[in-house]
Amino acid sequence: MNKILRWLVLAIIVITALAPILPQFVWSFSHRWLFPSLLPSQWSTEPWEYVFTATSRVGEGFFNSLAIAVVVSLLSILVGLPASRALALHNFRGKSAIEWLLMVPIIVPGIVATMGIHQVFIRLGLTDTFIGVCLVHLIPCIPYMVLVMSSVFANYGTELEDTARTLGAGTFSVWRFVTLPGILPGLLVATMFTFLISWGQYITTVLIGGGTIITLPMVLFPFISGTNYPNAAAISLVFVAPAILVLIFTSRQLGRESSVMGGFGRL
Amino acid sequence: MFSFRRMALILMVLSMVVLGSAVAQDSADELLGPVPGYETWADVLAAAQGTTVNWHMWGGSDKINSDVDNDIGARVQELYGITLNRVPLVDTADVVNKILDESAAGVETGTVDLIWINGENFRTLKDAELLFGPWAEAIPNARYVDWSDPALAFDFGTPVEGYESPWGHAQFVMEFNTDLVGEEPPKTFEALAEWAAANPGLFTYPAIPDFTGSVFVRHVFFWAAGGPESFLGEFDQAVFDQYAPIVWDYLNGLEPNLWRAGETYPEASVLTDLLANQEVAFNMGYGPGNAASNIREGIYPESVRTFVFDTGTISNNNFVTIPYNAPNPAGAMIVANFMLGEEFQLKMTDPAAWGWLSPIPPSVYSEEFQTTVAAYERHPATLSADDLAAAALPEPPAAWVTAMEQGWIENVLQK
Repeated sequence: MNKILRWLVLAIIVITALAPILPQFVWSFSHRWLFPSLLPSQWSTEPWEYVFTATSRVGEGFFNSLAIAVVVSLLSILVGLPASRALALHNFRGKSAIEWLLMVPIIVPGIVATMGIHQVFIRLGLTDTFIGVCLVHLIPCIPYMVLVMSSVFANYGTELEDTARTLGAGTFSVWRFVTLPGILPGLLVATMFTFLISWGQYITTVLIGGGTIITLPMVLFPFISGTNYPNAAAISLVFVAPAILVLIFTSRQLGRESSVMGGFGRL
Repeated sequence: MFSFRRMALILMVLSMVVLGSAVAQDSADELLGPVPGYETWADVLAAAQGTTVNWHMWGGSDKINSDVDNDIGARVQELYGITLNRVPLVDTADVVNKILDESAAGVETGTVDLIWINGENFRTLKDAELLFGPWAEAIPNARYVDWSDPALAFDFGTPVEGYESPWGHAQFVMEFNTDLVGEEPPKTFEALAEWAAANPGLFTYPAIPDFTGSVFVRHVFFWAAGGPESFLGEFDQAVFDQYAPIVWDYLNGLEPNLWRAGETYPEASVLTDLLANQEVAFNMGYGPGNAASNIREGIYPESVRTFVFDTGTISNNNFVTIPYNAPNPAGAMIVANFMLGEEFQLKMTDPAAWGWLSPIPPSVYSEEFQTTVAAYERHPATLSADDLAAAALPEPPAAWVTAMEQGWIENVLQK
């Protein structure tokens, strides 16, 4: 009975996640699809042909977005992991101020912050560069990394690490065999967040990248604001593909039992 | 077997032939006036050889994207060795903000070479003195441009003064579905109101601040005043107050017969969907060829046609401009010059290719150009260039536009 219920819930989750994508799929093969027809009256592969031309810049945008999202995720781990551990496990003066500062990028609209950052980046020579775009994406990503990881660390405690150390494990061994396996599911969730936040950035990329770095949202969004739905649908499918892949990959990892995830909530 | 040296020799000869022909074609071209930083057109050509031009432009049409890459990008590569990098934008204001930011930070060399621009965005950059130039009256093909024509000398009332170069022409047209309206559309504002009263729910216009809704309301002002003349000078509150009540009366009278009884007004792109789905019978916009291309792309039913009001419709021009800190103004000028040339204008006015209007009358180009243009086959949904030209009205200066938009929000939307 419990098993049937689990499958049912899973099926509902999969359907609600994939159902909105289905019309996109039909749109991307349509030439004429007018209300109130249930299906397009004329079909076409033109939107997909356009996606694969050099003119559409979808390929270029895809690989730029991918490279940026990977770099941003790695940088978020580098910055966010020590920060969240310190915030979760230690008490120190000014802790709440730092917590508050870390959350500011979520509270302040991205466009406002980016206008100011643009000026600073110009002076630092970071505008119109790959690394400049990565750094500006990092700003909305870090809060999510820290939010998720500090709750993971708070549940995790340090008892297991202490035990390992009393048994003679070195710093690296403790990290490799105790800490990392313990926080890995949470870390995957946090990395998935940062990857997808970077993947969806538009205005920050436009301002800091200045048109030198073309990403997938820069190619997609003009079509959404226009009226060419078949093309918008085809490009948007390319856009959601990595998100679905990342979700499938991480959900498999999260399926494993983890004591740390207990407090975070099972995903 | 080819040896490497032989290959190299052949390549060298080939490239000399190609370069030679390009130079031969342009050797007659000279600058028509001074341009900052360059003595002769040959200097400009030499400076731009092998460079990249970053052209920032609205990117929401796959057709325009491909057309620009094929008919401009590929050609300037062949002719001048210039790589055209088209940067797609959702809104031209994004790049205007970028230039403003760069100027605040004192950036001498930016990344934007060319911008597709007009109206408010041009005024912002020109008023802030953030444009390169003046250059547009000096490039060789500016000889085709009649700068004494107010429609080219002024962009929404802002004097152009050589800071932007025209390349395409836009004119407002009404689109209608013959299945719902019949062959004869209501071509006056009186007839339109009668039609809407007899067929409630099938007409509407986009809400201001949408620029399509804004231009529709400007037409009602022109109708109320019996022509555009009252609105072409400096803004005059007395003149505005004289005609505004007539406009608000007309539009408020129309409201109960609009789509959804006027409780809400759609965005322009939604109105296109509504006509496509036959939920309304009319759409409107600045592209006289849009209906034809929407039919070809499958967005519109085959029964859509266009018309202009008996009292005329507003037209304006598409320009390109070069920001003050463009890294490659020479390349940008060459692209702008190419876009005014016979080859591109022929392509742009071809209904089977771009299907745009030209800011330049065919008579200034060669005989051959004129015969080709005369022989173009028009899509049945597109009006003839002559019919459009006969109906063309100018844009009022921006101050009038702002007052009309504000007035509509206060007197129509909120009533």
